[in-house]
Amino acid sequence: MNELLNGIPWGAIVPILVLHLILMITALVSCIREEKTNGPKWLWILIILFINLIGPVLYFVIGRRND
Amino acid sequence: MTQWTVLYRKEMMEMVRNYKFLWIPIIFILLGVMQPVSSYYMPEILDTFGGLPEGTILEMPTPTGAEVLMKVLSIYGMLGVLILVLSAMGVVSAERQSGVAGMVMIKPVPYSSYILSKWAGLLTITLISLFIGYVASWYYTSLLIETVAFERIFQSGVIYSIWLVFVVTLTLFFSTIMKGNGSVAFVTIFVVFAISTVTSILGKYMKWSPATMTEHTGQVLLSGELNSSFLLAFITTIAILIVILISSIQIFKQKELLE
Repeated sequence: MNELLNGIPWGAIVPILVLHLILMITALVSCIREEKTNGPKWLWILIILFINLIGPVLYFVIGRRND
Repeated sequence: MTQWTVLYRKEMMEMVRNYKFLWIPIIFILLGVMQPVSSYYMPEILDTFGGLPEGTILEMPTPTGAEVLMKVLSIYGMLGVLILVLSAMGVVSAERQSGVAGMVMIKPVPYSSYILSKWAGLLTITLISLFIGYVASWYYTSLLIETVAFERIFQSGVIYSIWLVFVVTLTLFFSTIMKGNGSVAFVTIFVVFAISTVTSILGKYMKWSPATMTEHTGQVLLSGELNSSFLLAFITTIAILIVILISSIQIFKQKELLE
């Protein structure tokens, strides 16, 4: 396991993690600032937090009310 | 022209405000980067999670850089198209339902400016996302697997973008003729899927089809040369695009009068 960890080119992996984080945080901020979402807000927060990558996308596509 | 610019700027503002300019490029980057990373780690992943019996020797041919990038493009062809269609589905229909379109059209704005500004906005986000994502994927492929000439990336990206532009224009068209967001997305995805399936089954007779752009992209990536039928497909695609745009403008005029 240790070998595996050492062999990881962190320079390549870190940007991916950062992008995931940015996506999640923007979705969260947008969700919290929104007055009303399609469906309960706490559910969206859970979806954004716990479903990786697909959660924020789902929120942006169907969770936001565009008006 | 100035009205068009104003509408286009409004379109851009809106996309910044609802975070589309952030999340769509990020998704394209992540989708593009996943493939080189996972093919780089495939042996380790199989080792750790494969549950293969001790001593199994797997001869895994390491994919070439061009092959990895082709896979990236086929992922864009499925998930990328899905994301683009879902994000663009309400472009006209939602505005009409919420009354924004009516408010815009009260002013003496030509119908063509309205539709064309929407179209330009969609093109901007599509092309930016595709290029950022594709370049990121190229960078990771070069880093982890093998360098691919940037020229080829550029050429294949340009050819591939024609297909995505076609998809986005179709979304705009269905968004003007139909009401619900969901049905727009469903019909668009169904049509896109049908076009590419028919093209791949009847390849011989469908050399003009816009869906052949994906094949031409692969060709350019692998060999750097364009098939002779590219010009035919390119011309028909442009012609179809023009027809779709003109008919959406016409239909939009009719609809506006009815409601």
